[in-house]
Amino acid sequence: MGQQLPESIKSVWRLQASLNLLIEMIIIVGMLCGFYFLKWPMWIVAIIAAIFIIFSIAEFILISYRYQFWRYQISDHDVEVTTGFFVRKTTAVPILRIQDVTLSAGPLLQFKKLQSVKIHTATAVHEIGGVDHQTATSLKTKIMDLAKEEDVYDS
Amino acid sequence: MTAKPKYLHPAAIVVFLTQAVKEWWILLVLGIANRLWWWLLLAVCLELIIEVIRYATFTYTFDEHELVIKRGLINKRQSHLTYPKIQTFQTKQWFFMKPLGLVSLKIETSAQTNNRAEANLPVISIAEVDQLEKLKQNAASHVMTTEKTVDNDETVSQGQEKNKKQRYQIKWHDLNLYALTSFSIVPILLGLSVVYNRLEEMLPDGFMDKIFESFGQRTNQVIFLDILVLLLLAILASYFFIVQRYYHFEITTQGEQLTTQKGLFQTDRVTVRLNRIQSIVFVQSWLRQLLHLTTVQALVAANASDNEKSGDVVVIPVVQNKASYDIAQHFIKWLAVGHDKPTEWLQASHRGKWAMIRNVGLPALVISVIICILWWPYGLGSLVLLPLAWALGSYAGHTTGVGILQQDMLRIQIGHFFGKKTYYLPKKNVQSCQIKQSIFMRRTTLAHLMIRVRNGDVETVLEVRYLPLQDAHKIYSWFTQ
Repeated sequence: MGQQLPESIKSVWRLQASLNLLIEMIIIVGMLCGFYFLKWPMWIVAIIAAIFIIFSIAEFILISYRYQFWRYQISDHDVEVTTGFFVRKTTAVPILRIQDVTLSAGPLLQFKKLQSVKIHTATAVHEIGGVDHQTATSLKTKIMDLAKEEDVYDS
Repeated sequence: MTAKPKYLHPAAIVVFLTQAVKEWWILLVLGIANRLWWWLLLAVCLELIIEVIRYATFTYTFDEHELVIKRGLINKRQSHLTYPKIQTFQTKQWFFMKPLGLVSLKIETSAQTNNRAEANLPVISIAEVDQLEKLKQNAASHVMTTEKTVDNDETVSQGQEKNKKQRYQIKWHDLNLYALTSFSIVPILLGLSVVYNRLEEMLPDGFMDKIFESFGQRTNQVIFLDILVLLLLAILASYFFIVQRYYHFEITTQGEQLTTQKGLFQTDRVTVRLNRIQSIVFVQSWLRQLLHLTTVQALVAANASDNEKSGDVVVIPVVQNKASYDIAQHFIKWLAVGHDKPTEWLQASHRGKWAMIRNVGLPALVISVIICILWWPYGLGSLVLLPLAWALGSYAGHTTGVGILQQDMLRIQIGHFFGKKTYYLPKKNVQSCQIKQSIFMRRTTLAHLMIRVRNGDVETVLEVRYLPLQDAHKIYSWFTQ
């Protein structure tokens, strides 16, 4: 069901995961310094390093799953977003209930020329992880056009 | 702008002063306790000057288009409110303001300003409030007429309803029932503990210790009695608190407005537009359920309640189960006549019910095992938790459910702690519909259904847990149709 995110989002996620790994490495190096100079107990460093490594591996492995299970679909009445492998969530948001749409892109998404689309209702935010500029803009105009049709309810 | 700017009633100075006292009472008490009379006099004079300036710089004007409030001497502010955007009117009137015909008025629009009312007129006359409400109603009906040209069928029904006025006033008997079956003793006990903490901070060291010493000399029995008396006092206080608060509770609907009014010492009146009501909830705590009583509430998409964040408005404080739906219908038209039972009532499967019992039971088991080990053999008493947990889980399993009513409406019932809430929710007020399924539930083909509703400025998530996946999809596809 629905449309998949562009393939290039995977490399963004991979880059993101590598960056996280880099930060974790720096922390571990810092802690090793603590071990040598400040006599911190070794086991703390070992446990934290182990946790970091497990999380990094999991993050890399899960990328393809995340990609596989993240779908979106826009019909005339609603936006549907499906995410998650371990906890699968399927959400339908009626377009009439959408208050505003945010397009945003951090440096990584910009590098791959992608944008994330966030859909705000009065109560919650739903995200479509990353789509290319053209799709993002057309999504935005489509949603906003449909949302414009009826605002009597909120007047 | 033709109208002349008006000042508040001079009594506003008194209101400002009491507000100041409320804020600074600790300093005041400390000042009196330490006999700093000159400083106190200076502070009071300064305060008086500040409040007079505040009064003198606060003006308001209203005409048929908007309400303008100007205030501030150095940092001047001007707020403009247009009538169609006004969501709620809230007036409060202390009993001593009644003979003067004065009220304090709060106006909310749909803009989000950190839960502060957009317009706060601390003291104005009732006549002016009426005038404002009329202006607002005229503006609203003007909007309505422009819409009516599009939809012809609705015009007729709306025209008929416009003049109809529905009214409900609580009876003394019901009020008593409501007060007696409330659990507000808990907040009162909390309040007592806060007061106690404050006292301990402010009173000189050792004062509290002395009191406790005098306690220590008594026997256990006397202390037990003291606690009992304290509890009884708290219950009594909570009873009187609720009675005075809901005294002469009255609800009226007229045209597009719903108004509730209540209170003995302070009359609290809230006017909400009917189309802001998102959902009607029938609430039963376990105690009220035993007595076959129900409270009817409305979830409103505007700050209308005393609690600043949520939008719960009590429509009927307490009513017999059987009559509740019929009475609520008089006020909320979309609660269709005689259709309070859905054609198909979807509930957790056997497996799902079991999962709910397990979810409560496992933590209870862990806790009681730990207690047993730590306090052997008295800890065995904690095994009582297990049947309780079982009952909680199975109650939740049996009461929670969802069904589609005619006229595009959902009925969702959620059981929790032997109490239940039944939501009637028109499809157009659903913010989003979500199916959530963890990897373990995929094997048993169960799923949680989550419906988001707006309540005040926050969301309320109605979660129907452990539905069979196909049933969850039924609701989902009904929703996406």
